[in-house]
Amino acid sequence: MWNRLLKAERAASGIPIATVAEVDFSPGATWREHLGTLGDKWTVELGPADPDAGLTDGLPLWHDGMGLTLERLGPSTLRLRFDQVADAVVDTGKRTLSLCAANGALPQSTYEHLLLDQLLPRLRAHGGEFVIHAAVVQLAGGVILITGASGRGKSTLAAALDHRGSALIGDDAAVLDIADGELRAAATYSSLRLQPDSLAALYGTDRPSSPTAHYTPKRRLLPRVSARPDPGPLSCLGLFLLGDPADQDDLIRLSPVEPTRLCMELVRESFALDPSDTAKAAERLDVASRAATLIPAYELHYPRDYARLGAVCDTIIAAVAVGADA
Amino acid sequence: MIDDQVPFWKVSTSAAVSRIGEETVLLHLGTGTYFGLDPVGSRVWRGLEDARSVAEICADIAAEFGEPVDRVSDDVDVFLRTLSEYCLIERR
Repeated sequence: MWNRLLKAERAASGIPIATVAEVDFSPGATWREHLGTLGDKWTVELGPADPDAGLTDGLPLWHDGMGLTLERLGPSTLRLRFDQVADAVVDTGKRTLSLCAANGALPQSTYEHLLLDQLLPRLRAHGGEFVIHAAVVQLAGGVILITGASGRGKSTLAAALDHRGSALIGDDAAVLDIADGELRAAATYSSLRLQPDSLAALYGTDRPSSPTAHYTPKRRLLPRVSARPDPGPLSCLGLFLLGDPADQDDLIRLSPVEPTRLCMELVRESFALDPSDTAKAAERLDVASRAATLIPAYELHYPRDYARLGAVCDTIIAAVAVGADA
Repeated sequence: MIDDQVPFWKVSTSAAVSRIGEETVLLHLGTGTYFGLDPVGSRVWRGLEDARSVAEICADIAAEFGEPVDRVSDDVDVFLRTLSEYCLIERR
């Protein structure tokens, strides 16, 4: 169940790979526990740059156009290259994961970020779960999902809802499943990461936080957001897709999203270890299309003004209440 | 010259299809691009899946919606060219 950590020596290069036990992660870090949600025992190695990595040619499979590329190294071995940051070699047969810096060594926060926010959702998706990039907030006896392109304010809005009495479960990735005709959702792990201005606006300047990664100013709140017990999968009451702030006027507007568009949104936001795997892509489409018929969805436009967040939260809460009454 | 009474188009094996009510979502597995079809587009797609000719498909839609066949044919022709450009359908 628990991932097992290995200490290994790179005999060829003589560069030792640090074990997690030797790396001082931020207080409260429980990434080992979160990786345990994979359900199978994985072996994880973390380390500085591997000078031999560049000598291994991989077959390019896919790239996201934003610095992440996927290569095949062997029948069950993939390499995810986070441009200029790190390489992750995943062997899905042996269930091993090796995460090495691209140059030199990485701060602990960056290892943790890559493990939890980039690799964990992809590995869970590879294990057969349907995982999307979304914030999960508990309210009205269930949960809502908040999706949208990076930078549109998912985390800030989720934190604002938490302030209003809802419970933020996680701000990064959600696992969806369909059981007995109901869509349920759970966060991959409890998290809240905010840009410094949002952190200050919502929590003031005294709230402890730690760096999310060395290449982003986002801060990870401490203690972990949810000191509450993980509620596990809950009934999904709706999905809120955040509109483009560039299209925004001064109004808070909520408009229904049709199931077809919701299906495409779910596919777009879904994680996959290997997006070029057509069989799994077809499976994701199937799940997304079924999920899209089970929940209401809305496109939410609102001015990015901290003073208006309360009203935005009220709009969401009211929409959920109307949906419950329908 | 294409005989539009004869099935000319077939759906691509690279297209994953999911139906949601009367609408359809297509995912091109090679490019990762996906498309949403409204009920009429979905009717056309289903006709192609059933290996029907373009003429048959247009006649059915024209009859159902009370539109002139010529107008329907023009619209369907544009639709099919779009599907072809995105490699969702292929010539037989």
